[in-house]
Amino acid sequence: MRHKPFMLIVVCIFVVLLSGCWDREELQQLSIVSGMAIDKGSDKIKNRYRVTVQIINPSQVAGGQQGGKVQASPVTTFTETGSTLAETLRKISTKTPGELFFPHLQVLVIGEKVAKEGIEDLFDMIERDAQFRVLFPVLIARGHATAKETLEVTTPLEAIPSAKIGDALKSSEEDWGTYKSTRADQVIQGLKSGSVVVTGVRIDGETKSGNTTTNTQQISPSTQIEIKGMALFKDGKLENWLEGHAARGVTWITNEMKRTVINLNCGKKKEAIAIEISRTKSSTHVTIKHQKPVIYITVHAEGAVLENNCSKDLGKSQVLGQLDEQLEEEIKQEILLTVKKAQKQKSDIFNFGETVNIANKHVWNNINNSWEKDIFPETEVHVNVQAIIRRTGMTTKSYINK
Amino acid sequence: MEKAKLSVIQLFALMFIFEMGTALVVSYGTNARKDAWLAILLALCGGIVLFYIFHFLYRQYPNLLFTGYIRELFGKYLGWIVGLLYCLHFLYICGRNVRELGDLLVSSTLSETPLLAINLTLVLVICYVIHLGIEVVGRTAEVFMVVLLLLGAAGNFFVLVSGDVDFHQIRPFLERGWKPIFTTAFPHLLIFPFGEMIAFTMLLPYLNRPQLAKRAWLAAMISSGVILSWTVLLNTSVLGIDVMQRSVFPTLTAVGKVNLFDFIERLDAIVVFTLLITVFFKASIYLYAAVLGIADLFKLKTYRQILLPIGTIVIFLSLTMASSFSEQGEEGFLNHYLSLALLIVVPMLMLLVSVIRNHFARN
Repeated sequence: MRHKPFMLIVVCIFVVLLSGCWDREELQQLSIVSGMAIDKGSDKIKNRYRVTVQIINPSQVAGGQQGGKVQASPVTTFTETGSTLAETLRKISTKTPGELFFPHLQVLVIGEKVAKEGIEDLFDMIERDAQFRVLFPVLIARGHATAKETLEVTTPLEAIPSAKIGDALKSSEEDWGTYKSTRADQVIQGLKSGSVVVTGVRIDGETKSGNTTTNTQQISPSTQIEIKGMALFKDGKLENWLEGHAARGVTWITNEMKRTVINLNCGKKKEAIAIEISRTKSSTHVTIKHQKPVIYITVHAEGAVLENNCSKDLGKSQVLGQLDEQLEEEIKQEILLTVKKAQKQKSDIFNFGETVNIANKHVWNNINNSWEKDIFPETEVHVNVQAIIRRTGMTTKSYINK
Repeated sequence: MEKAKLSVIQLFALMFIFEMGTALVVSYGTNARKDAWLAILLALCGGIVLFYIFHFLYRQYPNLLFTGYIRELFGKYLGWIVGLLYCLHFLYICGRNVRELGDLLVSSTLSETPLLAINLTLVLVICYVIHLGIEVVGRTAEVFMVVLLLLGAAGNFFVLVSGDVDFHQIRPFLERGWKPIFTTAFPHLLIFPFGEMIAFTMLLPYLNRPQLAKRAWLAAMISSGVILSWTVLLNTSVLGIDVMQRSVFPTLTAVGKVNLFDFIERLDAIVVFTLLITVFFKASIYLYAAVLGIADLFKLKTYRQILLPIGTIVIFLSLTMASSFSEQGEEGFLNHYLSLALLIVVPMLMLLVSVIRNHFARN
């Protein structure tokens, strides 16, 4: 009992220590970063990056009508140039009201100019810094617009532009299946192994008018953002763009296809039948023939008829069977097109190398160094597609008689 | 020695948590690349052999501490010196563990907090629980064992259902043959954590039913070895071998990747909690073994009178043992061979001496 006063003091000290005051962060002092854009700064090594952060303006996003007041924009961007990413981000703090807070980062947009010169240096900090989570998607801003401008387009329906890019990416990935999203950790892994594809984003319309709230006051905004193309990177540098069907092939091969729509011909009528693909699974395996790998890609796909603009009677299973074959051929051609393009670029974006390694590590050890340069472009690739159309919707034969 | 009794379950809990230790979180066995899990299982087999040595010695002197029977075996003077060496080694490893926890917290969550504040609070709590006696440590371990299992189950469940797991990442099996697996398993993985179990030779005399020591020890070692192996396997299949080798705390990175429905995410806290619990017990046991050994060697009445000064030494050690995280990771030439000698060679010598003596005694 004589220790009582002493214990009380100790307890008080512990209370102070345990609250961990060093790392406290007041919510109102944080500048929550929702998007980040990296552009080329200058041609010299010094200040080579121009980094833009998009910061959420909480009072505007939180909702509630503010009568009479002029509406401020829901986000604000700040830009700074610097030689390393970390330096530039710290320099931005001279302009922002609070400390930059990155865990809620939703997209990283990289300008095409930087992409062409190489993005290898951009991800070390993101992987190293405990504040970043590597789960956000990375995009490449295409064409004449910079990444900064892409991030600054006001968007209707979704107040925060970077959230809108993220959502568009997600819905395009789930419904259209052509442009898969690439998370930062996937990009890092791809940079390490040599080749990688990254989704593209571009401004549709006039760049300048994007950066005003009047843009969203129109029914059809004069400036919009759209997800377009897959950028093919080799050794960290942007080499080429895959568009449309070629881009969809990547999604097929990497087994990331969720849903998509494929058009088929109906006799002489081109692109007359639309099939929705909903359940797919693809796998790759490798056999070794004469010390050389041969790649087999197997795709299983199930679908349903969405639209039928010709006179075929889809109530007959025989007719559906013919469509199945057409569909298989269509998917096969798409995949082969993508593989050819990748082989031409000499970049193994599908990570076939690892599959070869799994199949036979001794062969892989021999060809490892020359894989992308010599072996991969020459490798035989066989595609086997099994597609089944399960349903025809609410009707069988269409009212169309042609 | 204090008058205390440990139950078998408590001993098992202590041993299990001790083995999880820092190995669960820090980069572990990655030199064996994709086959790290196999290397751990191999090291476990080696650990079982080591266990039989420790256990044989314990059965010879069931009522003596390790520092007690080392003097019986090696003679009064040499035994005393070697015993002290063990105590110092325990102290050093205790400091190491505290430092590793501090480093994890500073680099992952508490970036502004000085290392001193974290280490100081941890060591104070450890000193307090040791002051209350080994029984209290044992009972606490029983409770936290359950917490630890729940955390582990939650972490595993979320990682497995998150869809990040790709078991192709650990193939091909034996990518670079058996050599890297053996060189990683022996001696590094054998010492850490399986050889480290030697600290428990300071605790075994407290066991209420000594005949069950073997069962508890083996059960704890095998279960923890399997769990460590599984964790490394899971980490590799989530992160891939490249990230795994770069990462300072792979488990933290792997669990941090979980993102279920944009709703269940940022589970890194699970890993930090786990490490907090395991390091607390591991450092406690080391510190306890050290102070008990020192009290025994210097013939003190109770270890409590040197607890605080030695606790202070641990704090000092944990702060000054390395100037940077990388230096801490490099371990140092001396430490490597010293732990090799203390955890493997000396027990073997003791076994030899004991067997020879028994032989002559029988004649």
